[in-house]
Amino acid sequence: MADRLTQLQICLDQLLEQFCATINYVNTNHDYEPSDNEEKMADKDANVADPKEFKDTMNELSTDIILKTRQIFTIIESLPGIGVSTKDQLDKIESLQNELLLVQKERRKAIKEKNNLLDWCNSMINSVSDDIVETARFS
Amino acid sequence: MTTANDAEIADLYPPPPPYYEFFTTQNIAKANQWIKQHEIKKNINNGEEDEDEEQVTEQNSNNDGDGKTNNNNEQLKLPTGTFASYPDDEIRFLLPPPKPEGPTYRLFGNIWQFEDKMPSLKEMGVEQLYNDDVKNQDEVDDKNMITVEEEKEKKEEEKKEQEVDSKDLVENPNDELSEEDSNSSLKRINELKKLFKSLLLNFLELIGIVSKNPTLYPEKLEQIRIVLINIHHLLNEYRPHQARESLILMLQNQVTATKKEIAEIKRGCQMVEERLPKIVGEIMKNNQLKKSFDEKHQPDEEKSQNNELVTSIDSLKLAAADDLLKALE
Repeated sequence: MADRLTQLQICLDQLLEQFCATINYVNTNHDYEPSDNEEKMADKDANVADPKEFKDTMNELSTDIILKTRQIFTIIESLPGIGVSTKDQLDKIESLQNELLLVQKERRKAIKEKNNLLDWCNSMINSVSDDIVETARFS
Repeated sequence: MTTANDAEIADLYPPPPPYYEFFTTQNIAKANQWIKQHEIKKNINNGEEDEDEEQVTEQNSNNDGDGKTNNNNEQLKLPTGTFASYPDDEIRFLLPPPKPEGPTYRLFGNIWQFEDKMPSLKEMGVEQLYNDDVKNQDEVDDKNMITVEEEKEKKEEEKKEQEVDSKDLVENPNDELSEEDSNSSLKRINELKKLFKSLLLNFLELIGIVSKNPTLYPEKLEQIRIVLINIHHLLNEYRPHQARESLILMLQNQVTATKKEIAEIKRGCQMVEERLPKIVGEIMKNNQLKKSFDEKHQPDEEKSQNNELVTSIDSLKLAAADDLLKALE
């Protein structure tokens, strides 16, 4: 099973990266908005994005953030062992451990039986082949 | 060339400490004896459990030839801060140093704790934003206050839409307090959700602040930082729970896998047991056929017939062996 907590932490990191990317995009691509009666500023070096493109990108970035958040919430919902107390977990581990020991014992037994059967079959095959050799010799 | 290189490489490493020569078999035996004596004395003084002592002596007798492992085993048994009581001769170098006192020690410029535990947020000097349901009621109330206060701050700044979130945030803890202890992980999940919502909210606020009065951003950034630390801390606190859950899953998988293996083995054995009588029966039949051939046919023909029979029996044998192998796989 994938480690949900690590997944969650990775998602958190990604979310923060998206935050940074969003702010960075706004910071580098924004247009200048004059306030009140100011003259609109212009900067030749500024990398001002086309208004439509700017809006689209903003939409995309915010959608990404929302999607990432939804993903995070889904992962939180599916965290293992919700509503199970530590004692329950430990009890379950112990019972499973005992069961595993029993099953392993049974497995060893089954393997032993299989080996016995295999030995018996081998002896059978040997005796059959011996008989064939005998018949071939006498005929 | 090679010798020059060797010399260069040898220069890179410092010579061994001069006291390595003291690690003779004799000295190791002496040191072990000293530890044993010391240990027994300590046991009498402190009235420690007998079990420990037995273990120690066992280890001593087992590891007499191997001083190093022995010393490692003894390390925790030695009393702390008794360097002065160490013997004066060279055996002193064979004994592990006493454990440093206090709850922490320094290593490579970092401070480490002897006890392997996760420090709480309080110990790290970070404000804890979520409810700690394991702790007592007063603390929980305190934290509720903090959350409520925070939400109030946010409400002032934020719009309607976000107020819905904040209401959720405030209402949830009250619901949780009425729940039972066995649902602590459920509470934790809710706390986690709250923190993530709070994180989003804080980000929105940060954007708002930056767009209106950029000089105020450090405070908001600090709040986001605290929320993040809280989230990570909460996640890491959840780890033991997940580890147990993973262990349960692994055990279950192993049990089912072993059961399946047993079933397969049994099925294989059963198949072989069912087929063997059939095969034996066929062989018997063939033998009878062969006898009838012997009686009926002339020697000339007999030879060729015999050969055929031998090959047919051979192929039967091969088929039987194949069956066996398949069944046993």
